[in-house]
Amino acid sequence: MRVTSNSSFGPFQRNLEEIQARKALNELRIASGKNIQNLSEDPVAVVQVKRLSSIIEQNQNYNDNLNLALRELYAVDESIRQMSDLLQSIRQITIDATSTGNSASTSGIAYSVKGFLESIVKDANVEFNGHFLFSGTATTPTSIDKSEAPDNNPFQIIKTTASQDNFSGYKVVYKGNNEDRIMNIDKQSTEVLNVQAKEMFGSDDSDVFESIVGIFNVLAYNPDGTQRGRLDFLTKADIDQLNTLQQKLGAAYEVMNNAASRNGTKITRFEAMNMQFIEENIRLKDLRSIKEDTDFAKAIMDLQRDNTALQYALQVGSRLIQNSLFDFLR
Amino acid sequence: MPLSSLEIGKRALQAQRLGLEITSNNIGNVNTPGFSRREATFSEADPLIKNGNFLGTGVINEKMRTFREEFFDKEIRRSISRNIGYETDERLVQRIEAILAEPTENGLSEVVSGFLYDFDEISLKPESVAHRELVLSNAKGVVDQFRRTAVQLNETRNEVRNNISDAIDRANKLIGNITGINTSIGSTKVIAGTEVQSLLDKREVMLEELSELGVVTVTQNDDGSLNAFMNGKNLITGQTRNELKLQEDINTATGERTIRIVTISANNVITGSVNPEAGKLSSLLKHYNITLDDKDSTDEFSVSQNLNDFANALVQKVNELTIAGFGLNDTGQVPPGRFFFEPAVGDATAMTIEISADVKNKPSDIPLSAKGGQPGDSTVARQIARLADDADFLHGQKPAEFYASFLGKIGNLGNDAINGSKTTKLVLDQLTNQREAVIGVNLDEEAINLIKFQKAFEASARIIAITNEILGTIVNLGR
Repeated sequence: MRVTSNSSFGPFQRNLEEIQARKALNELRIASGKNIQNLSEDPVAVVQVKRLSSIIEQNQNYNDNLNLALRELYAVDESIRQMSDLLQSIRQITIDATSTGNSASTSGIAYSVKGFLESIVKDANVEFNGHFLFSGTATTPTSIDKSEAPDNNPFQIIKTTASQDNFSGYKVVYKGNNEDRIMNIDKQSTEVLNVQAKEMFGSDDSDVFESIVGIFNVLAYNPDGTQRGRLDFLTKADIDQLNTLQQKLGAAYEVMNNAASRNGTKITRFEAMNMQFIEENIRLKDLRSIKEDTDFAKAIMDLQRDNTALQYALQVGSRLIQNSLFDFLR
Repeated sequence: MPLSSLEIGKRALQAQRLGLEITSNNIGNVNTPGFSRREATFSEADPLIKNGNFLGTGVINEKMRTFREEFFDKEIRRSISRNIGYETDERLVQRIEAILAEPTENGLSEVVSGFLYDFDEISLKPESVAHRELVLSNAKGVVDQFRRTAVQLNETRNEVRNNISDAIDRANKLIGNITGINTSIGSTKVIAGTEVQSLLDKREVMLEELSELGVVTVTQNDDGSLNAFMNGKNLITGQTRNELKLQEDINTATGERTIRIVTISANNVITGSVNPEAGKLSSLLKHYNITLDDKDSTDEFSVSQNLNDFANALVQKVNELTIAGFGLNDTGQVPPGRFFFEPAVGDATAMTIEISADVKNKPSDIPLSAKGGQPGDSTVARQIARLADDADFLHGQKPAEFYASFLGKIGNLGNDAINGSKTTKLVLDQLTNQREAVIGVNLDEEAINLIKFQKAFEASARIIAITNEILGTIVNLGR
């Protein structure tokens, strides 16, 4: 076959271009750390990487939400503990009251109970991240029912008209609702995030508070409705009533503990799910890295090889393409 | 006798000088694109019969031989069309990939997923106005990315249209030039009987340039001119020609714009539609009419159409949920009926998607709750978040799956173009090398020819010199 000048130069030029293109691609892979520089290079790998990335991102989203939810659950846990401690304190001083005959103490104890009640109500009104924790889905001041009591909190101590059943007239009004606040915890499942008021404080939302007010009334008022003086001792009927109310508080304490326990198991479950998402993401990221990231050892070897090929192609080619018969004719 | 030797010497000198000229021309055009080498062919002049003997009368130049073969030319034209078609595809797909900026961690899919996941996060604190602002901000990011991509794709489409127009102008110029050469060849052959190899070479170069634009079939005429066809439509018939023209059709119902190429005669009458089959024009037409057509009505893969479908699905799905939801301060049983995205009526596109005036700059009004007066209820927010996992989001796929598949199809387009380009380039190079082996100039060969003709010229000159001496002797005999 005849070999002409163009048939020597053409392939030499094309081969140089090919080697240089390969070399440039390997340099780019090493510089960027990414194996795939554009879609056309390996469409199948791109699709796989994208799918893995979307799963990783989704897991990360659920992970972040679980972390956020956990912070709220810790806050709920803390509040419940505080409230149950206060309940215990009320029970304790009620028991103390039944065993003391000192009417001055009885009156003081009554106002301690009122103080504890106010603290429990304050804890029940706690906010986290701008919403009430124990008011169901009426989580903002504007969404609570203020028809009975005007302030911006879901639980409020109001003073109503004194009556035979309630000499002080004190009443704790609940202005929220008993709806669930729900969150997505994974692709298919949801979880209730909040503790409803009725779970904490009784089926009428405020059974516990009625008992505490009842204790206050017994300690602060005589059976005829007058305020206890220094010489107004507790009668047997008063003590029986206090014991009954104290037992109710005991039951309420158990209810609160159960709520705390349910909250605690939720925390444990969320923490376990968190770890699962983290571990799954580690595995998925490894898988993705295999497809997406440069194998540096291979890329460097390839670059070295292309460099060598280029050097030799240039050296040999430059010698071959120069010679012709004209160089030797005189 | 000496006089016939002079004539023989003269003919020999002329023949060798012609050989030298042809060889010099070959050497001078060694790098001229499309040049085919020539060779002087000699034959013995008609002999004289004298006394029963055949006396030679020297050499004559029979003709200038050319080595060009129509077989190689035809195959190479076809390969050029295919190769340039794939190269055009490759460049356009690279452009589309650059617009989408994939693969990346901040692509459209990630932005849309991030927007949907914002609703998961806000479902934990739907009362937070700050987080609602964040949702709006990220929604703006989604809208901006859709629009930016759509605008760039549209600009690319306009550029493709301009390229088609430029290619047609170039094709018409080439058609005109080839027709001119046809005329020259016809007249030169007829008038002088001279070989017209230079014109043939030039014409072949132009035909190859025309083949870059579309598949051209050629038939030869007896007078040396040719006829050229594209997709069976006459472009050149001997010394007459038709021209190509760009024709745009608009579908009045859908607004879809498609382009086709037609041939027009000398009196501006449309004579038919042309499908280039391969080449630059074919590739550009395909990408204008399908790949970059946002209103494409064929079943083939359209990047712009898919992008619009993605935008529309997002708008429809999110709006379906928010219209039944309540904002932060909404009360009552009846939802206020707010859309999150516009357009609220009709199909959205990547160009027209926008945040609805119902919620724009009004974060509290974003409907996240399914119950009035219960801002802590985040049912709507959770449902929107679940769209990221909705297997029926678009074409039976989740959003991320659809987008991954979309990218895969674009990647396959590019991959096919690259592979096609490499394969056809290989074939083209081989054919070119084979043709080059036949018609190309080998400098070593021409060097030998130079020496050969030079020596023969010197020898022929010697014949004349010796014959001159002999004649001189004869003339001076009587002195």
